[in-house]
Amino acid sequence: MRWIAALLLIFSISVTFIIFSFIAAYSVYLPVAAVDALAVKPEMSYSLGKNDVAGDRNEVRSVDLSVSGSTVTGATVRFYKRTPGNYIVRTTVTLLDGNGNTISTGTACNFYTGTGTRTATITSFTPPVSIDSVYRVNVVIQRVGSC
Amino acid sequence: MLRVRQFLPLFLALLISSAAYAAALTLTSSSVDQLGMGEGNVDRYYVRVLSASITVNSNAFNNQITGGSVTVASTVPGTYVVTITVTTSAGTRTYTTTTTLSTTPATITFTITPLSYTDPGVTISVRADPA
Repeated sequence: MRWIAALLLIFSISVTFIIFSFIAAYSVYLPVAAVDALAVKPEMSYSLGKNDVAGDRNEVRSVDLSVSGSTVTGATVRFYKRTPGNYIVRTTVTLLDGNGNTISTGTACNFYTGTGTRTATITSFTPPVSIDSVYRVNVVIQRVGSC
Repeated sequence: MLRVRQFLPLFLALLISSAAYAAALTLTSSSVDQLGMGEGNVDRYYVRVLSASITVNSNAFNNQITGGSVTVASTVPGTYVVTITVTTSAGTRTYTTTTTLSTTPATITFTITPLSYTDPGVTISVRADPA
């Protein structure tokens, strides 16, 4: 009987020791100031299109999003019009979420002449979205017959 | 022999508790949120890239990207390691810098080893991690 009591005592002490170890370990002082900010959306990407189509050789050089507060309100796209001649170009800026789904679109349709760097201005996105919902921006330039 | 058996649970307890203690101490900043959002006011940031631009070596169709610039802001001001990755069908280039970001957009200009600007285009990814 005595050795059973001894075993029970040792077992109890062991369990208590384990519990105190857990408490001690998880009670490590960790000041919030010492913790890095947590990333909700640490990355954004832009896809700038380039066409290799006869009669429609354009390439996007830059895109600037305009925001009001955190809402995306417009975009300015700068592209190089390589194919000479006068024709209509449709510029489409698509905003995508973290799953790759399109959440908003903006379009501009303009008549351009000659070759060189040209600008397309998108004045609104439908529907309006927060920049914090945008994970990817796609810019496509395409020659069209009419707007 | 009896004594060894008696102390076996104690040895096991020591071993398990040591392992538990070591596991608990491996908490990293990225796993703090496992404790639950109510455990502390740890800042949560969104990176805002408001513009992306490339520079090319010529206006010829078979031109190359030599650099560019991006305008970046973060909802939580601080020092960040910003990694810019430029990808076309011809390859990938990476540029890394450490800079201070705030809610006011900052322009980061970068240069890369020339990369062919191929059809269907280029993808510029901007990632910011706390320094």
